[in-house]
Amino acid sequence: MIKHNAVVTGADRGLGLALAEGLLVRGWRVFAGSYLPDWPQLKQLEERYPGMLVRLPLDVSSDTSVLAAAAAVEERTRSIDLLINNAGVITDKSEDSIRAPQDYEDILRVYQVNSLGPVRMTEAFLPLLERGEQKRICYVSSEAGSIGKAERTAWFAYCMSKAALNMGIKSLFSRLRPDGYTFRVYHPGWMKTYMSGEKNEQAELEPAESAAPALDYFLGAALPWDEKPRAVDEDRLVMRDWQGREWPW
Amino acid sequence: MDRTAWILNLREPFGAALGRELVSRGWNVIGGDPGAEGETGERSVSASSAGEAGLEQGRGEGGYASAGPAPEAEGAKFSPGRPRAGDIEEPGGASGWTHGPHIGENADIPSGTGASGLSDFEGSVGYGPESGERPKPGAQAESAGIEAGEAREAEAVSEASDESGAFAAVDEPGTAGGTAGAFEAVDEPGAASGAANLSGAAAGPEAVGSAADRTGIANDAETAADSPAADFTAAGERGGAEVSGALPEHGRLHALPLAAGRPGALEEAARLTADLAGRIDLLVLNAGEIVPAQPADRSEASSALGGEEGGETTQSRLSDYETYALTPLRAVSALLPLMEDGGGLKRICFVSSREGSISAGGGEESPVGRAMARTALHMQAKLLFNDLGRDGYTFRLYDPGLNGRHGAAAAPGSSAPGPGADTHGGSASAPAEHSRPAASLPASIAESARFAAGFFANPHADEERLVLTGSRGEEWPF
Repeated sequence: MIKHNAVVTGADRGLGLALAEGLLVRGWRVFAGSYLPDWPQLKQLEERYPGMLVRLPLDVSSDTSVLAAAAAVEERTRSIDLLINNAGVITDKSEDSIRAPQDYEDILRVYQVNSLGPVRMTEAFLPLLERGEQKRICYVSSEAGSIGKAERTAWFAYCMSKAALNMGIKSLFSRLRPDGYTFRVYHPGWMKTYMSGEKNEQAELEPAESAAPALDYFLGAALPWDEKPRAVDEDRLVMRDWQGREWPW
Repeated sequence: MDRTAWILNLREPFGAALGRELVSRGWNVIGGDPGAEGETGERSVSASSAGEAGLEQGRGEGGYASAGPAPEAEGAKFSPGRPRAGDIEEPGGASGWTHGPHIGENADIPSGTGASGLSDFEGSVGYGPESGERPKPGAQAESAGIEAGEAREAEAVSEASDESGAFAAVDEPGTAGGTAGAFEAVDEPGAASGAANLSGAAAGPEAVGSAADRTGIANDAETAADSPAADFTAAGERGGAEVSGALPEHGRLHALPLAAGRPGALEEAARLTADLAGRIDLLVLNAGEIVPAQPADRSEASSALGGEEGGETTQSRLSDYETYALTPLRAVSALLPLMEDGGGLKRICFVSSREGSISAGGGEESPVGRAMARTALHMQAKLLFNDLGRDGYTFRLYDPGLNGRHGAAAAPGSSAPGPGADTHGGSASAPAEHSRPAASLPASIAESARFAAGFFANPHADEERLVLTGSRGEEWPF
């Protein structure tokens, strides 16, 4: 008997894959959003967890794809308990300063995936979440979305998309918190992932190193990084990193 | 030395008011006019120069030729006629064109619409009796009551043939059908429609309204009556005359056709600007809707409740991002070359809103897509601040505070209560809070633009921080 159901976007590789695996280890059934049908890692995970991992073709930038995915999940379960919005993209044009020509199409593409994608996912999966036990919605954002701490001098597409995402989360929080939903916003740290197309080997963390504290934060009711666990204040929306530190908006 | 401000949208009410303010402070203003597509260079010369003449003489400055030269030619050189904003480099200078004792204030210059020397500053004839205070709600209701009393008498006289009606009016005012008009005047002095036939009495409530909105309606209405500059003025006022045709030119203000969303439009505007003025000192990015189309619209609030079912679509959200976040980025990109000149002020001002504040915003009255786009704009401003700050650029991030009830609720005491706001008795407060801002919208726009002109043009004590600042100088968190 399956106790809990989760949906994870961007689960082909990187942090999303690690999050899906972490949930499977804990006995969850995972609907894993897959954008790259030819990438082998998620299939391999599926073979290890038959029946518990369901691959879900999903492009979070597309209304139709998201609605189709929600319908596909609804065929298998009447409720989900956890939605993890992990899918995100970056652009190789980040370093272009304002004095260089900007690629506005690319900026819009990043916004479609990083900012509107999670909002779209949340809205589409609300009926399933509504019937779930936990009503927990999690977002992988970034310190790059912190306006207060921003020190970059370009990176318009990515930073603007993550700042806008944080606002979108706040809007959803204002709307849904009174109905019992709880929220997590997470900065995963600088990870060795494929976000820019190729695996970044200079980064600090392996995806699994960030996925472990992420799942503690996403699933728990207390902050595990403090010396003694403190209850999360569910009525206050904050962005925390993999070490439990709060980032300013 | 001339200082030139460039305003992204001069037809948008806040941008229009800001343009007037800056002109009145000695700035040359160039701006985009999304409504004047294809009409460039074909404006009526005589009307324009007549407007200029009236404008300059009204200020008591004879500097600008009263007739003749086409504004395109003359405007290109921004002919001198009064001390210029260049004086801002000598803060102790006598003129103090942009320096006042406080940000946004300049004792030397009548502030206001900038369109007339007679009626646009406190104490001038345009204001009528000057108490130095805004009318208080109680006093207003009282005076409205007095006026209504007169109206009642007048009504009684005018309906003397219907004796029962007349007596009813005196004895039982509340039930008399014949005096319904007069009592409407009590409830809504500004409207006064019911008492329109009682010319003497009806003027009273209207006067109350004018006093309450002293910076806005009355002056602009006067200006609108007799000056071609009125087209421009009217463009700045919601509920004003229908905007028609091109914005008129005058010596210090030049509108360029600019549909900012069209590819290449900003580059074309940059070329035109380069011909008009060698340099931009102050770039004002007032993209999108700064003033709500319908202030504090409740239907908007309820539609935003639902996000997915409430009227917002992916297309509208992308469009919001294009409008509020990408258009300013395109404008900075296109116009930055005109700001690089060594002697320039190098200041970039973003007009945004607290609804883009993650900490303070997120309320149900803001459409999600627009709020997200505004937050992205704040990030954009911060990134440009980080980059261009190294080259001497300074930045302003401004919330005009005009977002309907949101702004009004958060800004008690910003303006006088609207006429009639307090005459409905106990039930009045809740609807009033929801249905409209405390002050009339034109007055709020003028007031906010006046503050913005100082905030944008003056030096700031701490240029090392970028803070979203409201129209009373209050700071909003990101």
